[in-house]
Amino acid sequence: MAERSKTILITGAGNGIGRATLMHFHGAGWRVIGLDLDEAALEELREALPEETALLIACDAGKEDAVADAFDRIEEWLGEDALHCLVNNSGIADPYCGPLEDLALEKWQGWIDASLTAAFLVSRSAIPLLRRAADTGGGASIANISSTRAVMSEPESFAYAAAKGGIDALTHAMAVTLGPEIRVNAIRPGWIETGPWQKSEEREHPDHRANDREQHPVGRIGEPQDIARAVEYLHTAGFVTGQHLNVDGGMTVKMIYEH
Amino acid sequence: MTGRLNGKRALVTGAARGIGFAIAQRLMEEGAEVFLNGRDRDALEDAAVRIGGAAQALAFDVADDAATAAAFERLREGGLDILVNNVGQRDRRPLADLSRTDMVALLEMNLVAPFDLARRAALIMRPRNHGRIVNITSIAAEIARGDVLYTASKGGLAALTRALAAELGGSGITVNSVAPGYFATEANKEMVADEDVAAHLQRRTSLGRWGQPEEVAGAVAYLVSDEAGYVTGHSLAVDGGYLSHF
Repeated sequence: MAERSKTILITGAGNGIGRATLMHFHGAGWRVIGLDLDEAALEELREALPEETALLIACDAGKEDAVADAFDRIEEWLGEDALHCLVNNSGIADPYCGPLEDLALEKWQGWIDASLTAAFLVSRSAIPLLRRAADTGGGASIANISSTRAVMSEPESFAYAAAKGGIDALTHAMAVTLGPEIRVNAIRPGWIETGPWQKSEEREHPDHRANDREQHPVGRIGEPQDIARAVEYLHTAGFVTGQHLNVDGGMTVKMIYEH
Repeated sequence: MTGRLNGKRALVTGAARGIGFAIAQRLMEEGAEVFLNGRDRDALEDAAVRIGGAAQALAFDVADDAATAAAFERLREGGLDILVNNVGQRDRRPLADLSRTDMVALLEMNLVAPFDLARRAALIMRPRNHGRIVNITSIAAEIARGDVLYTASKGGLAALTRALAAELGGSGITVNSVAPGYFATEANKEMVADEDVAAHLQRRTSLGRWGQPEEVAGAVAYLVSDEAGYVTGHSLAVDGGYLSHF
């Protein structure tokens, strides 16, 4: 195995896009750190990956104390080494929260904390570790996983859309502040089929309708690996910062008239 | 480089120098057979020699219908997988000095020619159910500082990108644009030497520097690769953070 000289930290790494991104970077020769609430999913990953190259921590990234505890372990694991890339991916996958007039503050806060607050908390703790990479000329970047729902909506997805809009704004605010040492970009996934990247007991391979595929200009539903590859590109894109990259098969530029 | 474009054939317009040259060089390094387009045959042949490998000059004026048709006849035989519409003109004169004729002439080069090349490229790509088109726009597609002809043409090119993406996606063709910010090309060398511009970029961008042509080439290489197979209709700014900075 090639020497693993770079390290990536991914939140929401247990399932879906986070899991695929973790496996993609591990496969590409990186050391990987994954945070997630889902202990069963993390345990599967611990069994699949050697502990010298993969650190998987049960953590609610939207909680300040939990993030502080996780970073104690991360700093111990890294020693003097740098963190090169942070992917703020955690969130509540289901965007539907019901009618606005029935939406409890606690539920609203759940969506906001799981993605937007988590991105703030984890970035805050990760910045000193990312600066180590910048100081050694290794290049440091943050990819915030936003959503096409940051700019377009379906009914009754208020909290999810607002959290992702916040992620977009956090991205440009961080980019103008943390540059040139750390570049910060957002990726806006569209419809990504995460079924094949869930933990084994929830894994599924849905058969999408022809209509579902055809309403995407590229003729297919997205895969989590599409997002992993976008993270990889943005990490190498030395003059790209404060940007959002839509990875949505063209959905947001196409006017769709049928459902 | 990766060889991820092995076996692909690419046409890059405006490839004799600057950003177009850097794009052509990068696509060749990734494994593609690259055709360098421009009007100056000698400059193109010199550029092809400097790139080396499978790079060859294909001189024609993209605003000349017959010349473009002949060039695409030649491309059709071996196929075409990648089109990069990079060539463009700039006319920085103020509105008071411009005429309708000036606008039509600039649109011909910056908008009509990319449309026509994309149309011709799609005819070759569609039967193969695969293709990649990248239009080089500008941050001027989204913001303005006067410069009305150029700004309008680049806004049009960004819209053309979205429409082509919607229409050609079903044929396996992705269409995206790359929007460069301030780039240290030969054409900009007077501005690059200007300390006021450097101070402006320091103040106005996150990275505080001029971009290098290779950095646009990196964005194009990503968008034309299999890795970006789910990205279409997108405008990717390569601007050091210019668009996200007040």
